[in-house]
Amino acid sequence: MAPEVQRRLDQLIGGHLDGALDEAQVAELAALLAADGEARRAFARSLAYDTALPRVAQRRQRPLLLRWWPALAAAALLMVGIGLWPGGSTPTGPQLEGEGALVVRAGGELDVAAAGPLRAGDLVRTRSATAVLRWPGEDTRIELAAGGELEIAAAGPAKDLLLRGGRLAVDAAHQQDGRSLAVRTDRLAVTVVGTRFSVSRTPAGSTVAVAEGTVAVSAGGERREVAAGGLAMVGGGGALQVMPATPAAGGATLVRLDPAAWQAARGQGWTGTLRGDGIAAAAVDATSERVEIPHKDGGYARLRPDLGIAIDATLAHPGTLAVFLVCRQADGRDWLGVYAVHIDLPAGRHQRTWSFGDLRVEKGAALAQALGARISGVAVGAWNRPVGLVVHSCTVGAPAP
Amino acid sequence: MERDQAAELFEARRAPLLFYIRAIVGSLHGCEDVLQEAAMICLRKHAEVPDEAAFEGWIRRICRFEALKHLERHRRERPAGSERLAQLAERELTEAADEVADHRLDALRACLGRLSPGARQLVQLRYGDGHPGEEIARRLGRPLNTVYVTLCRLHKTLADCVRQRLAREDGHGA
Repeated sequence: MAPEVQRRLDQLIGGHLDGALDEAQVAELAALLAADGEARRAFARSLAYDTALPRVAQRRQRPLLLRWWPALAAAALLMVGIGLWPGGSTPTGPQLEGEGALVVRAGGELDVAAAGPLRAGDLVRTRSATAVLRWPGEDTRIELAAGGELEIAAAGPAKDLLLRGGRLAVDAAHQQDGRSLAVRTDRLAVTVVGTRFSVSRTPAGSTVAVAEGTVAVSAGGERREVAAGGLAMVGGGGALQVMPATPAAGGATLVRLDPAAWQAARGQGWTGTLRGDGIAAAAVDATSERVEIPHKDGGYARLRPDLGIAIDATLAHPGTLAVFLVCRQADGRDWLGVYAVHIDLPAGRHQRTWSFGDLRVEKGAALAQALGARISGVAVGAWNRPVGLVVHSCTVGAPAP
Repeated sequence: MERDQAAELFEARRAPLLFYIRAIVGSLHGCEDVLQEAAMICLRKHAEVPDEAAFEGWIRRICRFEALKHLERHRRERPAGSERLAQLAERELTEAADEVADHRLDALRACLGRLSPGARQLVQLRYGDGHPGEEIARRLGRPLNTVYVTLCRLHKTLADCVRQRLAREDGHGA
């Protein structure tokens, strides 16, 4: 390709990537693409790299969305300077724990041991296992699920985290004396006083589920408070939706997997066998085991934002445990999707609870579209055989109306 | 076609479909929303597709239609013919999706670290801060067309670097 043609092609491709071409320029670009395979490859290459590079380029630290942020940060610095900070020493960044997690720093990758305390600008990336961040001097714990990317925009007492992808769960100590915590995605920001909540980011949108306390969620210029049991979502349209919790008047169990339920059904249609005070999972294939109740097309319950999932299970060996909700559309006519919670666990007996916001899409429609769907099947699965999974109880419940 | 199969076929084509949409829409803004809308339609209308061979054309038609709808919603006058760009480069867009697949991103990160200071500044402005070409041109005091040309050359440099790096790694692993 002649240099002047190449230059013109690059100009047009650049303009197209900005959505800035007029009709004549689009026609000119089309003519160049039609005439030359190398031009088509250059066009496709620039589209691909221009789409992929925002995922790998380092973002600059940005101030938080809240106006009082600079004042808080300044106050924290002042407290450090005059020795008022709890512990009397300059606080350092969070410690990272997690097998296989990586820290991207200054363009290079470090394992957890080499990285030491995390710094502003670090990017934490988890692979097949979760990673945990703990801040010195406070009981704040953040768990980044497998396959997640979290940028540390500010690492000190004024904590600012940007979830680039995946899911995290926050158990935050009370934020006072200059401490603060903000968690952002590209669509929303959560500011914290002291609470437990989880944040998920997928291409379909971002979700915040609050387990305890209250958080403030900001998106698209709007700021709303979300209390325990509530859920905030920002989907493709960019609007912030908040679903408050249904007032609880005692818990209601919607679906139960336990020995009593197994015995009541005499195990008909169940996957798994009764063993002592639990149901032993059956091997599904070379790597996984499962306990499952029979499918019910009409649904056992509706998928609702105040849904809770609780499990009590024993693993003979370390493995990944998951609870799956298989859903049909609200009218019951068609399959809609499979939604699941996952956790990596060591061997032993474990009790865990999750909320609606912890669910992620395994297959099918986005979670926001699944509200009101019929839960037609529930399964507890484990990977990394032999796990030796025994489910003592698994309940899907919600507050009574 | 069963819904599960349609969902699996869609997932396997997610990246090339995103680039196909972007070839029509131009700017990245909104392309993932268009892709999500196409996914929803795919899950609603899976029964229309007779078999796997028909899926590719069917899902591309949906993506094209949704991309054009997006343009109509967001521009007073959309430049006619941008869908032709996607049609012309259909095969190359699928190949380009492989070039930036997840398993190659580590190599891309390493290549970013080898750029000149000037190129790094451009990467930061464009992909770290998310500025369009016009704002970058203003900040750098350069003509807009020069910024566009430099960006395209940067993409080529990175693509060559990633290819060489992976070839070297393959050579060491062999």
